[in-house]
Amino acid sequence: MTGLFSFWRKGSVRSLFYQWGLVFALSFGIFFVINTAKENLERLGIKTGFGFLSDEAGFAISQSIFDYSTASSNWDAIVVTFANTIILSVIAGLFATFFGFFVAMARLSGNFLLRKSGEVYVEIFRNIPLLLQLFFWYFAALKMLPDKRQSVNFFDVAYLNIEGFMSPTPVFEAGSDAIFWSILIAFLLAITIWFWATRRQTNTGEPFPALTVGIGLIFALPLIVLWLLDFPVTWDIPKFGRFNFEGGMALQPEFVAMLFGLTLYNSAFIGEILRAGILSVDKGQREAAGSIGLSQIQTYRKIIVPQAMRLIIPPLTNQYLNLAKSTALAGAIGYADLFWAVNGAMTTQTSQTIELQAIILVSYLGISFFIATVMAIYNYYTKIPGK
Amino acid sequence: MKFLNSKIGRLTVMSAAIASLGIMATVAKADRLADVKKAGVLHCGVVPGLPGYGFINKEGKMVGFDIDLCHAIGAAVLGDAKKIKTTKMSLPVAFNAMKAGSVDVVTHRFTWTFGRDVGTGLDFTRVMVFDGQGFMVRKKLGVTSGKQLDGATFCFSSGATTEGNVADFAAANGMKYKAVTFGSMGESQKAYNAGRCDVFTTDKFGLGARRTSMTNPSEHMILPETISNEPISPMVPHGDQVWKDIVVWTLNALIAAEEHGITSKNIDDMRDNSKNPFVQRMLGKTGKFGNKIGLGKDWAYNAIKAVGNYGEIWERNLGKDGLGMPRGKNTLHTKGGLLISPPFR
Repeated sequence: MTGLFSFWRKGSVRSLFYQWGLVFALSFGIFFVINTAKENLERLGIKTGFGFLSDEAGFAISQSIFDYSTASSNWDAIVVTFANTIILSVIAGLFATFFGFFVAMARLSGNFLLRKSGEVYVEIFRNIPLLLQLFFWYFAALKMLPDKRQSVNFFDVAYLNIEGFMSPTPVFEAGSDAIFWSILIAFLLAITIWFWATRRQTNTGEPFPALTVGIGLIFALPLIVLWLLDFPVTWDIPKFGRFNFEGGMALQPEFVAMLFGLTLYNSAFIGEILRAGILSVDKGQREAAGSIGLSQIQTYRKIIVPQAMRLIIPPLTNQYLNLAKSTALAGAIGYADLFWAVNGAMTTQTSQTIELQAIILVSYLGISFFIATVMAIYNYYTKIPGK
Repeated sequence: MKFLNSKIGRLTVMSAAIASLGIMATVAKADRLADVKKAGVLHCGVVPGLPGYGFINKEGKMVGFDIDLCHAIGAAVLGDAKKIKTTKMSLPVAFNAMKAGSVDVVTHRFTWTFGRDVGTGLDFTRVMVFDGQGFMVRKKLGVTSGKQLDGATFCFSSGATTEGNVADFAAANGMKYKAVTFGSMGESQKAYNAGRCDVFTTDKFGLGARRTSMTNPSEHMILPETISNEPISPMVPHGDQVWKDIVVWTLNALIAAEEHGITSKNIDDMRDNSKNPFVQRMLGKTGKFGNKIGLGKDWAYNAIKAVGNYGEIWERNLGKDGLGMPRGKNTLHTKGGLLISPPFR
């Protein structure tokens, strides 16, 4: 190196150069991709933009919690199927965690049979591709469910057949607002009691069954209000028409098969995550808890679980993210999720591929980001203070 | 060269390399005929699983009407019907692959519609099958017309024109219906077969093909209504007129061959002895038609020699040697059908 390039020997100058070099290379790469896409679109005569979102969707959706018909817009279809994706993710997440807990308990059990069953369960469900499991559960369900004209009748109000489980829906009449208010009030009361109980236990050491009381309150208060108002609710009961049951609501086999498949598959992973977390707590902690007279359940609740949680949260977050993303397989067995609607019918009907792929990307990114944020907040509050 | 050995240095070089590769890749897309000739293989997108059209036979080979069209184009362009590569795709994937130009031609049964043709980056070539959507139901339902299907559940497969047609049909007749839409036709059919839906719907020739693979074909019937026009046409990428001409005129040649009585068996005799100037021009005995579209003078001869004329392709796959379906409107205009080739003049 001559004197002219002596600045090059300075580490900070060099690293600055490399970093900016990388930034330029990446920016050029991104610019290049966008520019090529633009040129290709122009060459092919494809019009871009999001105007198509207000056009008529023109396809039916089997399950929607909002009003939707084939005359609704593409945007409505996206909202409805996005809601379907969220509903499936949340319920499957809860179920998978619940079952995963039992899987972990079984695998940690002293009982040989239980322990081995847990092991077999985990090895089977986590090693078979999810899509195969979904097909299996779906077509198994269709094989088992009775034909539409031989429905299983539950007291003339609910029916089970190959279309799913049809049950009555409540129709709220005048004055029924009070029910929603009573539920809200019950929730607020329950939370207040919980805070009070925690403080009392910290101050005096006396425990209070806040959870039991809270849950009781949430159920009891609305019921009392209902009774006082003389039940201002009627029921829309499903009735058999020419081909199908009409009215009421239906729990469809597509949803149930998705829920089943996602729950079993993910609970195998979650079970292992929980087991690893629990095993990571030092044996001495358990023995110490025993020596001060805590029961088995108290030991788990107050000593083991809080410490295990710190190790469980990060991998559990990953598992939830996987679960939410794998709901995109739903279209294969006819459950109307976001990916199904946008990537299928909407792509071939509007051919706004780039915009639609962007919508899918942003939606799943949003869901994942939300899950990660919630878990990070939870992690923050459960970490060891100062660590 | 310490820079190149450092982590950041390597990353920078790699990014630059990837970017420049991308430039080269996009420059090469302009002339598809040259690309296909250079590759020595015609790349067709097909959607498998439909008997008669595109499916894997007992010997494990992809065969069917769609596949024969691919063979014909391959023979016309490369002189050898075997020089094709078929990539199996789902419906939406085939559609996107065509737009992106990652296959040379899609011969699957895609319906030619305004929305798919205009501003989408792909072109339809010529109608090879005139079909229309129909309904299949179980006989025990006692339904005799599509208009009696108010309140019924339909099984669909995602991304086809079938959903829109049923929506229009239902709106026109004041009907309500439920839909279960699957990722592929195969799952949709399986679900109908299991009893999940009252109605299975797709194009009528497709229904006829699929009825043969139900658990008990005699339990099912196809309703008389035809609720849509489904002109089925192979697709090519938009913007390469030379390539489009080649595909269109190869397909035309198959139909013209039937009209002039040229078959895969008598084609050599016809080329050498026919006095018909159309035949002479088409088969390359006179004129320079092949050269004009950038191919050898034997292009049409090769295509017909390889797979036969339209009638032969139909009978082998869909007609008496295949699924046993009648040709319906898919006969020559001289016999009251809709098939006509612009003249080879």
